[in-house]
Amino acid sequence: MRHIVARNPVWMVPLGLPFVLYGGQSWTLAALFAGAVLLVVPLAHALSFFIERQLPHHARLLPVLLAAATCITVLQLILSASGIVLSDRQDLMVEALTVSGLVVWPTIAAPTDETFSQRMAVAVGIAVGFVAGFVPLATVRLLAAAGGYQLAVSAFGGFVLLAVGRMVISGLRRRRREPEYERSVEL
Amino acid sequence: MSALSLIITVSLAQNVVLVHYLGVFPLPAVVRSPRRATVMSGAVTAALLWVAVCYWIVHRYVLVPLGLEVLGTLTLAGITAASVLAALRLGTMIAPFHRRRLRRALPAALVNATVFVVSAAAVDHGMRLWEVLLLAPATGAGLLLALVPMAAIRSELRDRRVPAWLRGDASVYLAAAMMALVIQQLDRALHQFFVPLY
Repeated sequence: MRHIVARNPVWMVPLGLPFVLYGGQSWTLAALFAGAVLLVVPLAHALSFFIERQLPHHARLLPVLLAAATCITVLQLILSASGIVLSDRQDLMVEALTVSGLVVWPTIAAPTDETFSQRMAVAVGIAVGFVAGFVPLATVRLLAAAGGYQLAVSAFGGFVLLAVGRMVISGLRRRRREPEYERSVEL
Repeated sequence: MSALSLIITVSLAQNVVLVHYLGVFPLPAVVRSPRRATVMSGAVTAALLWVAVCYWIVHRYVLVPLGLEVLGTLTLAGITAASVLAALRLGTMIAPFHRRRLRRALPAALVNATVFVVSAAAVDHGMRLWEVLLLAPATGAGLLLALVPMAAIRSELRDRRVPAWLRGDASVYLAAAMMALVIQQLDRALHQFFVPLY
């Protein structure tokens, strides 16, 4: 639940910013990215977790990236077999999910004594949190665009809506005297 | 595509962050200060140059002759992950006292959508090696152009007396929105002269 609400990957810790902005341009893209994230993030961690345990901490990115790339490749093959043809740019953005913060973050932030169920809880939490944050944002953008405000589906519209959402959340947090979670994502 | 049109298209009209949304994760942390944004842009440029050239070579001399183009994403992910490991090893040998910082910064520079998508796009478009070598610095210039002003606005707002709700991530997004609007108009104006890369 922490990754769905308090550390939502769209509104609180922007792990999937490129996909939030790009995927909110049409209903098809929104459905594609919501489905892809729900499928790829938990599956990649389920596949890579046991290999990760055998590797030193700094080498753990290798299996998770390979597992995510495998899932994306299979997804692309399924889509093309189903007759769903993606444009070059859509295809590239789907492939970019492999290296997104949504996939990589659970491995980077994982404690050394993490169990499989804990990892899956984080991965599923991030995937569900992404969809929970992304779908309302995409809906607002697409409804605004359908109402004639075409800038809503541009990068400008996406950033403005994210900023407005962030301001509202900051205001609420300040009123409740909660800590700022953005500080926990450090380089 | 000529060298000049490639540079202008990639760095300005088709900016990676403001037009293609390929920000570096985590964007608000990267644009915390202009210095950090500059260092990160440089690191991503170097990472992009390395990964794009490696992928171009593997794709041209291994995947295409064997008819294994379908494994492109897997190969690119493998190159990225191997590069992280190699860079960490090299970095800790050169600067052993910065091991902790390197372990945080190097994955951020190498494992991001900018490096991945631009490398894949360069290969998908059948670019020649000199074009790939030119594409990386041009993308880096675009990244610098987007991230440094965002960081400058953010740090400027931090030092000024602005309402609390405008500080932090919200200011980054607003700065990005304004810059995206400007770039969008510029892109529209240049579109008749330069063909979009991806």
